[in-house]
Amino acid sequence: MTPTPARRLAEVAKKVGVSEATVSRVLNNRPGVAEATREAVLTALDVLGYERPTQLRGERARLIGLVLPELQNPIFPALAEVVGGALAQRGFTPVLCTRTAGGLSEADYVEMLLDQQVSGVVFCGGHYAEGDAPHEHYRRLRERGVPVVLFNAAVGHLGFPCVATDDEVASEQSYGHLVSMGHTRLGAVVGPQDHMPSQRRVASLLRQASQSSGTVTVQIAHAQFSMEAGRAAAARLLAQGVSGLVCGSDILALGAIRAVRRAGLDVPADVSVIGYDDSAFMNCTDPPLTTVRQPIEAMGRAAVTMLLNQVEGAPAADEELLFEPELVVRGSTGPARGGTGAAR
Amino acid sequence: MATKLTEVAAFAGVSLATVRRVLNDQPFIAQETRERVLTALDVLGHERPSRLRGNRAGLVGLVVPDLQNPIFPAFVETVSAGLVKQGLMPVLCTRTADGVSEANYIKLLMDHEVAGIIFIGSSYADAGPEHGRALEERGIPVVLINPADANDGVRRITVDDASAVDQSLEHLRSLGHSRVGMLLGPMGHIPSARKLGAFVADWERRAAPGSDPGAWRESVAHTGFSMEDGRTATTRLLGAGVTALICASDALALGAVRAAYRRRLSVPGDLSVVGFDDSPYMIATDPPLTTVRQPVRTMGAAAVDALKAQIGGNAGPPEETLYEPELIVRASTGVVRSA
Repeated sequence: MTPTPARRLAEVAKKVGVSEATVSRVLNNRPGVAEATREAVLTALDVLGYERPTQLRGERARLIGLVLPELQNPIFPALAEVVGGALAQRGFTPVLCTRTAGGLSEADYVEMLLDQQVSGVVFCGGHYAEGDAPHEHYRRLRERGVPVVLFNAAVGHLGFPCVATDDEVASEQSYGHLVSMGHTRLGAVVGPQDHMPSQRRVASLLRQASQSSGTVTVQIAHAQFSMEAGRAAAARLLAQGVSGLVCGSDILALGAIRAVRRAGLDVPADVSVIGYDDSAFMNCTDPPLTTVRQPIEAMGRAAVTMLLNQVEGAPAADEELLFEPELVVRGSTGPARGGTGAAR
Repeated sequence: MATKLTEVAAFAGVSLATVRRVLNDQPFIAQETRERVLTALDVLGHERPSRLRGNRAGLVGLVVPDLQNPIFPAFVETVSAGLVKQGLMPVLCTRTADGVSEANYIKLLMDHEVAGIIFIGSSYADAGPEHGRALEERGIPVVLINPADANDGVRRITVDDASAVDQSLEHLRSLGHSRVGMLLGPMGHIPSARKLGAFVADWERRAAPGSDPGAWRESVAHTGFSMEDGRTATTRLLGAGVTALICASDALALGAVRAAYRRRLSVPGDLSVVGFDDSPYMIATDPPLTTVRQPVRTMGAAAVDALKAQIGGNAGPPEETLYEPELIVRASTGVVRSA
């Protein structure tokens, strides 16, 4: 005989050790109940073999956090569009969390997302990629079992699945392109020192240079991800006589081009510049920017699939899916002045 | 009240002072302690203070047509920051090519019981009248920024499109241009229609008596908003003999520049181009783009204030407020080439 609702209420309340009022609140999806208590009541329902009320099954849990470091660099809105669109198609709603100057920190956003009981979080760039940044909030997400997917290289110990552009391949493409045109003194304008994807690219560039038996050298300059910082870093490298600049983002590359001009030189005649991302309008720049394109459509779709699999109960694999970038050659790279480049 | 607090303190195993601090949401209390007190409240059947409830009343939908045009991410960023400062949480809704439309988002948002919706560059009119009615019936606060269509009766924060064109025309005339054309969005797109209105009014003021009043039509093209659309439409307009183009967006302007280059024309030597919107990378384009900048921060803040007022129940009249843009002169406009 099915227990009456009143009996069910009493039974659950007794099992969990809370008042019937609290159980009632949880069953009617009303606010004002601690997360831990809510979970305990729902678990008790399951254990006692009672149906969870329909409104709690999946409908409510349809929000996914989408955390971005900014929206200025066009690559981030592009990613948000791909990921947001893919989520919406599957009936989930992206909650946008963009860091702004003087606004909420990433940890604050994660607290808000946890309060809102999101079903999962996608991070497109953020503190997980920065060795010196706080990582406590990632631990909280893991503890609560919230599905998480990261974009691009992360610090080692976080244990979340990740989709990433293959930084090794990106570096090889850039290095190979410049060296094949006769450049031997290369410079890299990359992100801050603790930025993981930048570290990977630097390591790859240095490795390739070390295999050139001293013919090719690579100087490194670190910068925050802004046009102005890119310009300053590039200026330092130009002073050391580099003729080819590999940059960590298109924005840094635009800054580098300005540094070249400020030094009285020309792109690409005197100095070649390669960007990274291939964000919108980079074919309209002066000169049109040679860059490494991240395959964001494929990566975005893969990230959403990985996330929703976890949401639907599959265990999270601590894996990194690598995607091949492609070098898009436009007008900011050319043969080294006076050099004898390999046949193109 | 005192008894209740003592009860809670005893149950949670903390002091009365701690209970008070948690209820007043004061800082420097261990999360675990906070949880114990809140659980004690629940178990003893007392209501949590409203600001600690963490319910969904704080979600605000941000509906944008896309994030490709940099003006939309710019608005999203400033509006999001403003919302978050107010303790509200922005939910991003971008229309996608494969079918997630305003209508889908509105339904999703209503299912989630959002506190309000801000439409940027679009509106629920696109979704159909039944959605507008549904929003109205539920009394959901709505603010529109630069709506694409007419929306009387809803609070609107709009850039002054007519002023943008007046400033562009004045600039071009000062460079000697008399044959100016326009590259606009689709017919029916209200901001484009307003720009056209200002253009035509200027034309009529200058028209020689007895001249054909509709002659301006040859110099105006309506098209989609992509750079490619701009390029195609410009090729047609170049045939009409224009020496300068006022464009409804920067993407269209960049398309116009490309069309000129394709015809071996120089910008600004043979053709001057003025864009609309502005974004940080328009200084790096070829050539750096003369354009009209929208006061994004001011408009974003106004939209958040308007929404907050509606949520709080003291909405002002559902009127439209116009915001003055400014012309940013870079290198895509120049003196007209003498014949």
